[in-house]
Amino acid sequence: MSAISVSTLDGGATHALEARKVIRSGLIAGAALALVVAVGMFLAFDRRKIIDPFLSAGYLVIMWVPILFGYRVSVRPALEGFEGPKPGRSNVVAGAIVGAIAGAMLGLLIIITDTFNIRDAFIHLSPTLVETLSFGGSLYTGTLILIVGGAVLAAFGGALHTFNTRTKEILATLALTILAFSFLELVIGDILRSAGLRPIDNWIYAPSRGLKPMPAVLFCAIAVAARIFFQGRSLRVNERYRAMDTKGQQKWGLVAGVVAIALGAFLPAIFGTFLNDVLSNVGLFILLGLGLNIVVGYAGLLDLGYVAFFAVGAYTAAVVTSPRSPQFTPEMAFFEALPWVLLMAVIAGLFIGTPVIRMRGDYLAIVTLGFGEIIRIALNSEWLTPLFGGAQGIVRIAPIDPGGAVSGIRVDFGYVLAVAGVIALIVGYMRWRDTRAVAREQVEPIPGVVYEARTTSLLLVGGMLAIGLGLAFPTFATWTIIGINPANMFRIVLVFVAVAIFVSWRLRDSRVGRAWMAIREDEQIAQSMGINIVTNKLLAFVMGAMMASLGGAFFAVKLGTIFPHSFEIIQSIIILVVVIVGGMGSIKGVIIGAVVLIGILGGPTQVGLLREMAEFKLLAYGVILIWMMLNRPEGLWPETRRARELHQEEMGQDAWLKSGSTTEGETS
Amino acid sequence: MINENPTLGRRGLQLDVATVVVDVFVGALKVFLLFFAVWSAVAVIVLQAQGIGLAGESWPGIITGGLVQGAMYGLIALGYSMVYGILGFINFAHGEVFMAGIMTGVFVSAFLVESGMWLNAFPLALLILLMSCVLTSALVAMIIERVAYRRLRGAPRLIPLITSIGVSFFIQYAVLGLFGGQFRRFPDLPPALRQRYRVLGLDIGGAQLLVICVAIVAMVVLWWFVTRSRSGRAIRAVAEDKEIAALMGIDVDRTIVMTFVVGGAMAGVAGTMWALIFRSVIPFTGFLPGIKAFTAAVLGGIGNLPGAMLGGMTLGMVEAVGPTMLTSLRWPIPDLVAYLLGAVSIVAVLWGIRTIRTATVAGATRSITLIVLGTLMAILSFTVLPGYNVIIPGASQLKDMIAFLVLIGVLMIRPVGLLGERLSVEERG
Repeated sequence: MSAISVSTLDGGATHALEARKVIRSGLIAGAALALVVAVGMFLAFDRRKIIDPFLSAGYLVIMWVPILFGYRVSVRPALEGFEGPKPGRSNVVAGAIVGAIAGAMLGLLIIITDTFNIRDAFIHLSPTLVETLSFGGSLYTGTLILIVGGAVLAAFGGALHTFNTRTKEILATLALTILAFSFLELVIGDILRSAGLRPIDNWIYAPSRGLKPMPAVLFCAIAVAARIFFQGRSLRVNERYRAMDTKGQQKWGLVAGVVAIALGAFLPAIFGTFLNDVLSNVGLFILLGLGLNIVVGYAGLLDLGYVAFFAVGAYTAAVVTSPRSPQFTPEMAFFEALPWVLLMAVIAGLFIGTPVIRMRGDYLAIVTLGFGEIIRIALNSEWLTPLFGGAQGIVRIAPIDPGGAVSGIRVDFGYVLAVAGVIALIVGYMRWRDTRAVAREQVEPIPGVVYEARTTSLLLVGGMLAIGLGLAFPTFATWTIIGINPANMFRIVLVFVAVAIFVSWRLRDSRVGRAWMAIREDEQIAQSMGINIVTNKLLAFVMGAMMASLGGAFFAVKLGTIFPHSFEIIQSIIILVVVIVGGMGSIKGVIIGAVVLIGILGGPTQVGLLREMAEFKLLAYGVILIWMMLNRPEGLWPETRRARELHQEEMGQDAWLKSGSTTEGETS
Repeated sequence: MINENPTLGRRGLQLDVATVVVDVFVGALKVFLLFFAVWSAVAVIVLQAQGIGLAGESWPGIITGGLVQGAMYGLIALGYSMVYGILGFINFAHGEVFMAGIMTGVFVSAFLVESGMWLNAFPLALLILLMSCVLTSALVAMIIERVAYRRLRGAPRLIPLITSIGVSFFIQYAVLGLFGGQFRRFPDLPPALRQRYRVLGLDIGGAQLLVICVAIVAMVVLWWFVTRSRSGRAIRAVAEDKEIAALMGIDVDRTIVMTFVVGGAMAGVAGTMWALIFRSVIPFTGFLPGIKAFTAAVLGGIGNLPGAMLGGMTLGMVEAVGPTMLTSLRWPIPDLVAYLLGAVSIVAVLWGIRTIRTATVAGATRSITLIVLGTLMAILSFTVLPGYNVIIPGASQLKDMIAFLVLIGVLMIRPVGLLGERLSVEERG
């Protein structure tokens, strides 16, 4: 297991080109290029211009391949205590060879497309493609251009190793600036136009919505200048924050929170419809991701049927609010419906959770997947059509007038207060129970956590008061949103997300959260330490189900109509990808994951900022999932503990190398 | 599962309420699933005997349909079973391996039609079709193993599973991007296969007959390969214990590749069968049969090759017969039987009450389960069951649901499957 061939790490041997590796890299890069072109990504992106006359997004889509592989071919494993070879000309040469091979393969594809008739099978290999990729010349000059271009780009990728950090940062800034301005054209256009600055919009963007060259250069210059100017400063702010004591950090955290809330209330007004829509989708997936994060990330139960709870929430909200629900029409207001939604989620969580709780990990995964499908099939079937409308779904969800002619949301602050009261009561009860258990010496206190009696009693009394007042005067204050306005949807989902973040964060550090993580790491040991496996796992299921059902209710209201079709397995998988990419068990990770994936690529049925990805995003999700699992199973922004869990072996090897021990068997 | 140690306090047995409730619920659910299965089976048989069920001539059709579907599931299930037996994870992408074979088959058969071979030399064309399906599937399985799974040996259990989900989606959507999402159809079969034949008293379509024969041959070849050939023995040795096998001089990596290739080849055979029976394919064709084949593998006992085939057949039959059962689910036997059942339930309740003061948690849980279950059954037996006759509309839509219910039932009632599971020492855990 611990066979680390030290000989390849030192000496001049590595300076020689490793021919096999380079050729293999080239072939893989070529295959990737061919795939990108053959699934139609090139032509779909080619319609979008980055910088108006020169550069289309299509070229970007094929250019990153040689750059990436040219860079990767000369990445060497970095091991502590060993000095890797200095990057030099060999990196550039290796990159160039990789790029040339990849370019040649793409050229070959173009020639084959032109010579044989394979359009019947490969629907995207069209004459237009041949024309575009031969750059106006003949097929052979086109191929030559592809080879040379690939070699140059990949050589640049290889040369990245030789640049110093500052150069790399400036290059990254340049690329990001151009990409941000060109891909956010719709958003920036919306904002500028709503501010009455149409001329500026016209100055920045060409009629094709690509950046004009002049503003592009200007923005790049500004970005680079800002980068250099803020370089040291942001670091210093970071250091100062770190140097503060806990009190100070809390104070500034509070300030940041207040600023965020103020921004959340104000910013949607100036964002355009499109951005608000994208952001409310992002919020929805943060909510769903945080729920799944409790199940998968904290408790380690791989739930592939998470969409079941999403469906339960959506259908409950639809049935109790819509005047058009087939059987049962209490016609509640949206916020009145929420307690029922949560109740149904608890029932569903218990019902699905109970049978699977004792199954081993992978069987649990496939059985939950089965439950997800069962719920969808049942909702879709003729059998339950009298209850849930079958394939026609339920329309007119959460109207604000009795007849259901006007759609919108009425926010009843009484119910909001009552819900807040319930949460306060639960938190207060948990604190009280914990304090009592510690006082009776039944359990050890959680290290670093002190529950002040004053706060606990405040939570308990305040919670009861809030519930009483809220339910006594449910409509003492209302806010009526007429029509489904994306800005307001975004605000509502922000509130849900804030609650979910708070709950996830408090749960993580609570006794329950610690029990979950112990179960995740080793179930048998956790059990022998006195953790109740059954209740804790069920609680994880129920908590996850509640967040998913909130997401489902929001989803139902946002669309105003739901169909069984919206609850397919792909939903579960995409939520899982969001959690995994961010980092299982990490709240920050889920937020980042949702922003990056749902915001940029788009959700299963939702559009992201990269609108051209629509057809390809699920392909991209597959690639991302595989890549993350192979290279960074702990996610982009992991919890430290989780990362340590997943890299135990490597850390053991590092420790072994450092200690210089030569005895066998210590590393396993 | 249940803590057998009595924890007797001053006030008798200290029970953890949540655990007991969960155990009682799961126990009751198991009994209800079994009861439902037995009831529907008895109902079908009795109704048939009374001559009120389906018309007699529609049964052979249902049974042959179930057999063919079951053979297909069985062949796909072999791949799941072998991989699970050796590496201990569910290879979600196996359904896509199956689909890749069919997709290749579409283009190959179109080419064969163009060259005239499909009409003039159909057996040869069929052989070419079969070979191309098998080769593609095996190749795809091999590439998946090399690119995705090899680097994950020894990773935590769920990581290869999640990777395989990614691979599955990647293949589905890559195929969608490359070949488009429309139904691609296979050419018409020659008249010999469109005729119906009488075999063993069953009236069976030519294509179905051919497909069953192919499945049997494939099974026999696989059986010979696994039990007699050198590579097959290596596969079994690695499935038993990777480390010992390596010490015995077996190349574990190569053997695992071989496993994937063999599993892929079997999926390819199943793909050819699909091509002959259903005669069309889309990029998502593989997903549902894949999950159902996994169900079949679990049903027969994962890691167990005859089990996979048996599980496939069972699942195919249940799927074929299930919707028929649901549409005509009634209480077919005299109401007296229901009352008898109620009486037995009451006895069970009394027995539960009598034995509840026991010293073990397991015993107490069993007693509580008896009480709860007996009460429920008694109520049902005296109220709902006698004369029960409810027809579920559109029961054929619930076919997939029945398959998933079978999966859940098997994993709850007998997770080791019908013939018992066979896992390597590393995976037994």
